[in-house]
Amino acid sequence: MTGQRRRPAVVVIDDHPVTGAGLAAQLSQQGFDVAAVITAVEELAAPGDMVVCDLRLPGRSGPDAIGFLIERGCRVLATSGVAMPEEILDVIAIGARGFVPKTAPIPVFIRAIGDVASLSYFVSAELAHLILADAELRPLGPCDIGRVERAVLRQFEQGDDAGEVAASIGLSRDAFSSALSSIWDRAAARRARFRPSPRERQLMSLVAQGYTHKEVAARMSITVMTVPGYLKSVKEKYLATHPDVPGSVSPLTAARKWAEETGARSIDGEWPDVDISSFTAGTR
Amino acid sequence: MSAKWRMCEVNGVFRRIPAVQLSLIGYRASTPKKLGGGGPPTARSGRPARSRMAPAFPGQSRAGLAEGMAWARLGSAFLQFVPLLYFSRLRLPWLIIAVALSALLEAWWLQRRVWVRRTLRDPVLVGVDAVFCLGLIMAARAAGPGGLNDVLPVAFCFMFVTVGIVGFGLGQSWYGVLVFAVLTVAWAFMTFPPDGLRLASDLLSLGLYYALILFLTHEPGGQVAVPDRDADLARERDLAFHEIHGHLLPIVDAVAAGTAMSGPWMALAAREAARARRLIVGGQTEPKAGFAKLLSDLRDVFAEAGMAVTAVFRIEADPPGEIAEAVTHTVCEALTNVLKHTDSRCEVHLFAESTGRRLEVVVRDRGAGFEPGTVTPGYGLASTYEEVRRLGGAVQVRSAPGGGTRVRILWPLADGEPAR
Repeated sequence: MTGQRRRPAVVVIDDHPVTGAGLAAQLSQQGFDVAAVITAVEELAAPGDMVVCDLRLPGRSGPDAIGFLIERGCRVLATSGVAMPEEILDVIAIGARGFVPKTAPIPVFIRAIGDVASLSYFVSAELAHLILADAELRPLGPCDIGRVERAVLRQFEQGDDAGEVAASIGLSRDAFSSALSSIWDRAAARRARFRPSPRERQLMSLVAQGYTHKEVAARMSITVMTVPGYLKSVKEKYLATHPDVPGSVSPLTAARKWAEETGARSIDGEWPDVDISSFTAGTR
Repeated sequence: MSAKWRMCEVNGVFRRIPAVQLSLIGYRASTPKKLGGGGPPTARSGRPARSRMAPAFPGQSRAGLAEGMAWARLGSAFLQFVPLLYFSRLRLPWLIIAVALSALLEAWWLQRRVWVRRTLRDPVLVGVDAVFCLGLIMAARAAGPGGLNDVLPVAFCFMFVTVGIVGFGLGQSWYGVLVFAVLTVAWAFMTFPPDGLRLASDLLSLGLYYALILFLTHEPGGQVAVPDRDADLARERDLAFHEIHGHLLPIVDAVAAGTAMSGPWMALAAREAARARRLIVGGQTEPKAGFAKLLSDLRDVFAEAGMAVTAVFRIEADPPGEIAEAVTHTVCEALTNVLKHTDSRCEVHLFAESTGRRLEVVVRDRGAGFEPGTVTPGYGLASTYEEVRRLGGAVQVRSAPGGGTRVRILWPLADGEPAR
């Protein structure tokens, strides 16, 4: 079921030129037409390509970068070496057609690009697990994914590829495609309902970095009095999506923990100030 | 621990790994040196076993302060029994007993709340404590004798702790000042008719104490927390130094010097990249114990040998011990086979699901595969299969040339499932 007949032209986006060039070289070796290797989404010349995009980029990064590409009609395969589960689900919700960890061997990238070309989506075992776990944690009620979609995801979880999954469940190509698009559609709906807002995420990111209420207020240009309100709202969403956490958890702890889970520490590009220049290159 | 298992140092952490497999993948229990004599230098530092960033809770000293106040509250509650020594002199001795008992109850509640929340920044807690303190000094006033000498010192102790809780709990806010003012007015009323000198000294000490606390809580969560943040940063910096200097730099230096990327170098680079990645991501999905930990340790060992192994675990409850051991052996054998028969960058997926009463484990590789019927399992696989089967499970192997191999372990064997 992998689309070997007509291989699409691929654009590789990675802020590390060495990594991007490495992937491009391997793809060319496998017979893919690599249209461009660029280091930022803004450099994209021709819209509508198949794009393999890293999630940590200068300028637009993460879900933002993926959204930018999708607006330009690209089919995007997200990749990252350090993305957290919540971040991966975010980029899927925004419309990435699949996620491949950077550590994956090249045949996985090839299969992923083939699947996106022929089926519109690529589901790895780990992504299937993330989506299923998300569905269990954040049920959408009657309009949630059905029995067939769950069976599909469970089969993917075991490491089968798209063809094997469709065959083992006995789905026609059309039924399988529609199951996949329903999975994507519901994953997006789930995120839309249970995600913290951008401002809440900014606040989570700041408290996770250890800033005090006063500093947080100053950086977000809000008054100190409104910080507890934000924290309370974050806590409510956190509890709704983490049934195992006791309700007595303090709003600050909830915000910190969630920031760590979602990788929100780095969402606004602000990492804790670790001064690399103070490291000496000598022996120690 | 069975003799088949051995503790092995992986990434500075000791793990329990089947001994037989360690030799197969080039590990020796005593020497952490990896993969071949021509391999690159590994600058291992002697730091304590810590493989990833684990920042302490940044408000640790605030949490300690909260607990300290809770203990002080408990102590001051016990003190309320002291006036009972002058039982005959008390106007309403039963009231003092009731006061002391309810003080204990309140202290116990406060202790529980602080234990769970680890903070005093809790308006409900501060409010309850302040109101209770007011009630207590009023009751003491009612129950004590005219001179008040017997109840006054213990009530003052109670009040002192309350002022501390108000100060740290509400910080620099008008609410805090208001509550403090109400408390001091109540105190002045309690000592009526006023003994001027004593009242002045009481109010002065309370005032100074409250001012000191306000100074300490200079900004919300401020001064008290700063040393924690600095310590966290210092710890992270130290960790980052060791990771960069000891693990990443040698590889980057080698690449910069134009060293040819041979097998051992590539394996080392893959391992150190995985290590750095764990440091950044924080290893949140790492299971802590049990069957999942056993399997994830196994995965790590093979990943360190250069295998691209992914894993999905759904472990609701651990299977019985002997099943877990037999299954882990089989998984280990299957992964070893992949390592032996395919190239090291072969894609392998490990899936495990256990409800405690039912278990399904799949090892799926996308290597060369083989023609079914032409290959008989080696001694290792055959014996582990037998072990699983003896315990009521089944091992199914499916393979096709070019399509990889799928080893599926089921326990217990459901009706109608083929055993092979």
